[in-house]
Amino acid sequence: MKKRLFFVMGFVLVCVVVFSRTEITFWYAWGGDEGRALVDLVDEFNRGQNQILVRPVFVPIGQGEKINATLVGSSTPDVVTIWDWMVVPLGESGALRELNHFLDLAGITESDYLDGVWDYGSYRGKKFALPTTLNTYAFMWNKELFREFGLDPDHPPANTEELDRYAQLLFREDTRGNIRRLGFLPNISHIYFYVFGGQLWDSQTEEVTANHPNNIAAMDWIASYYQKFNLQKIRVFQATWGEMASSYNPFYRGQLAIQEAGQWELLFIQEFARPDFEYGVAPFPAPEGGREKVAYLNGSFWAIPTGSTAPDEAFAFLEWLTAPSQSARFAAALSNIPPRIEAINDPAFQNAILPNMEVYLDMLMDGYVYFFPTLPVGLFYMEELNQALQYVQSGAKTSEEALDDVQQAIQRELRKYQ
Amino acid sequence: MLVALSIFFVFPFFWMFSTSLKSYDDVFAFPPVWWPSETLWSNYVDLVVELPFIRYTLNTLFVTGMTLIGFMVSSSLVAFGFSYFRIPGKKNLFRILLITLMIPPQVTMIPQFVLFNRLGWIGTYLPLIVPPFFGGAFAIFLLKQFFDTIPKEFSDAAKLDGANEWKIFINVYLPLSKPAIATCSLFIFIWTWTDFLNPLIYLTDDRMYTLSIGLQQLSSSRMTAWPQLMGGSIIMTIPIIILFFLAQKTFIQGIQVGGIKS
Amino acid sequence: MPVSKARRREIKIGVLFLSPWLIGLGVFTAYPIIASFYFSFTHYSGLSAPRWIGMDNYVQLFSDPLFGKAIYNTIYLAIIGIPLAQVLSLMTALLLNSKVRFLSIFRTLYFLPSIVPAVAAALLWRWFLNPQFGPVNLFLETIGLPTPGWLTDPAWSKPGLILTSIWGIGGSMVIYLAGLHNIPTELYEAADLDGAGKIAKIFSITLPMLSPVILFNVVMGIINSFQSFTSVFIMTGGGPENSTLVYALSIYRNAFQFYRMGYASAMAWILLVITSVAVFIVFRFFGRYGYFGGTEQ
Repeated sequence: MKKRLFFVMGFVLVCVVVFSRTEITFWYAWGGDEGRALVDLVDEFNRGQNQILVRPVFVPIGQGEKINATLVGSSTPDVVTIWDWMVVPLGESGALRELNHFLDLAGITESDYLDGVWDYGSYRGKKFALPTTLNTYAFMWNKELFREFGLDPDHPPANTEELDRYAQLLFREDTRGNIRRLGFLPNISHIYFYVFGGQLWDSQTEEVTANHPNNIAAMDWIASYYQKFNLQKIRVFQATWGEMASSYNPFYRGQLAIQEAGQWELLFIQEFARPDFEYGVAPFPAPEGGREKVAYLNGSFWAIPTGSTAPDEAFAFLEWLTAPSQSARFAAALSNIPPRIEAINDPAFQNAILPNMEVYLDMLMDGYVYFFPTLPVGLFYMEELNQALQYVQSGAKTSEEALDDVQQAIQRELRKYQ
Repeated sequence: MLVALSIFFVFPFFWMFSTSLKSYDDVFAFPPVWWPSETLWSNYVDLVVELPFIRYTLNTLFVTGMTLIGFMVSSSLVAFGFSYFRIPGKKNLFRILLITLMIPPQVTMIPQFVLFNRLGWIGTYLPLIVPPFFGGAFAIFLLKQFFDTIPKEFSDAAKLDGANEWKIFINVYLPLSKPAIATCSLFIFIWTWTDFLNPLIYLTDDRMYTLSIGLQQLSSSRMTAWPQLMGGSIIMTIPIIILFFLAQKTFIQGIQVGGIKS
Repeated sequence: MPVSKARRREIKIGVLFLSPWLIGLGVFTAYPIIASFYFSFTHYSGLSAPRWIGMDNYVQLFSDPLFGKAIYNTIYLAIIGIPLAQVLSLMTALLLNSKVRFLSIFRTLYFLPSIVPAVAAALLWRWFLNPQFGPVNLFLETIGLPTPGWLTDPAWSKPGLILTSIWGIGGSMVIYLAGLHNIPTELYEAADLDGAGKIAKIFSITLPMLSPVILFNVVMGIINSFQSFTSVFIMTGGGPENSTLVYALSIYRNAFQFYRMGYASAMAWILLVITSVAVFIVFRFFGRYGYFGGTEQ
């Protein structure tokens, strides 16, 4: 009797050990429908195999207060979601595991990804995180307004000189001097740095190039818009713009004739604009000698903290999550673009493609792709550029002075990391 | 005149309420929609459906309740210590107290986390509810100032009757400070109830989350669910309003009784 | 002079009452504060080990144009905002201390803004101060006053923030109400017998009796104002042109966005020095003017 009991217990114990799953914690940062789509994927993973149980936890990333604090502690999650500017500071400080050998084992290489994406989130060859989904921006114009002002609705301006002319033509002021419509307003300044042939970072020499001569030329061009149309009036006008994700979006309402649009705008237009709203999408027009088809890339990342006690399982989960089919479905749910080429071609993504998405995809596959340099100093570079733009807009500094200052400031910061 | 001023104070709150009942698009309408033609009470239902609202509320009640008890009990003791006794170095200790209030939390956040990590308290409610039992600088400061206004004659009279310090604390100072205690409790309640950062940093299990963190879950990366967010914020303020009404009783009592009678 | 037994006993019991805080100080509070002081002399990302660099952070701060801007903005908001807020909240407290019908309702209404979650309040006011269709400018227009650009105009952004903060004076108002309750009515009755008018009574009785409370509100006002962060973070993000870059926002950015925790710590300790100087001045001022019914300060 005792012997049988012993065997039964032994059997149960063996079953428990064999069938028990390694539990891993997955911090995700999406709420609303997007969060739900991700949790659904996690459920699918859990149901589909018996070794790993993923526990998804909603953690708003913010500016990393919780991430930074937790990663210096001893009990960390197994997979975290982070912004792109966090990858290198966290990775270089040892808080994230290098993924290179995991990727080698899984046979995932640079060619699986869109051009340029492999280096995104790497620093000096070390990959600390995998991109979740991607965003990119294109040039979008209001066809109806073009038609109204005698411009060909199906053809965007061919270069920046034409763009300037269009912007002036489409500008409208009321009798009290308040702006009623802006033709165009450059917003993400560094896109134009690249369009004008400049760059923020030289990956060969690994140096900051904030004051590249073409950057300065681009900055002058951007500043001209704020000078032509009056900085203060523009600010007041911008305050009248409705919420982007609503039918009061200034682009849909004709307050802005041409805008920089992320690919998710395609979905927003479908949801919030008039059904008959006509718009066009194309790569950014370049000046003479500039670059055509510049594609600015950004996105969030998944990483495995060094403190994770189950890194192999964590990567196994990540491998599944970033596999083409799952990546395609998740990207479709966010109206983003999956980073892997196979995922883009996956039916789950293809079937969700909205009209004009081909333009964005073409820019990514065929154009000049860049991302904001991921450096150990985090957002500092971006913030310094914002400061520079403000100085130039208000006339406090010339473009050259402002960008020289940025160059010096970033160089000084980076030296602290050597 | 009082009425005019109250409009200034109440109006934004009214706007929050009306927004909570609007459809998403109405929120941004211009000219503004003062009151939606179709009041979507379903927005409130959404809150309970989308989030484990009840659980988050209970969690928040627990944390806030414990914190409140901790702060009030310990801080009143310490405030009495500062106010009633003559202790060498008291001035310097009080200065240290003020200094702890003057340091911006952003720079103490990480060392504090490291401390709790070494204690093994991360992932529990402990970092939130244990430190209050050792006094809170704000509460100590507030209560000390109020204790300072209590005339010495009262405690002298009690001493003549043979009371020791503890009895003086309980029977003289506390009863005379009811408005201060009520006010202090109210502020602590508000601060803890709406605190976002501390629960976020120390809790790792989302089943333990509080309401302020939970409300974040309503938004996707590009859109904030404004009506529901406003609705959630309003629900969060209801307990505070109730407490405020209750706390006011101590003020009203005072007016009727006419203040301290010798 | 030998310390008497009674004196020793007083000290012993006094310390006993202070003990919870003293213990908490040693266990919970001291380490983070001392650590942040140490970090201010290091290059520290907040993640990996700090590296000692001596006074470099402090030196760099003094040549940082944003540092000067942050200090200027923060002090501007404090010098205008705090006296304004205190005077207004004290006045409303005095108003609400009289016998008016529906008193408790009015008090609740005035207090309401202080309990609205900071995020909601900031968003609300960003809309309120909208230059073209926010209620504030609509109102100004109807009474024929010029309509400033508020948060879009570097010259008006700080006044806009001050307006927002006035909406929240219900907090200090409630504390004043509690303080007013503690004033013995006999004092007023005696003054009435002497034929004192309303204003005289306020200045000779109310204010002196309230001075510990006024002191509290002003000191907390200074501390809170210097550390104020959330509303600026949401309403303006420091703009336009850094006109609303307040000190706490700059600290936050350096600590979490730029990974310069050492630099942020240096900023924090400089703020601490400035705050203590300001508070010290306030204590001196009220110490002389005030009356303390209980034991001395």
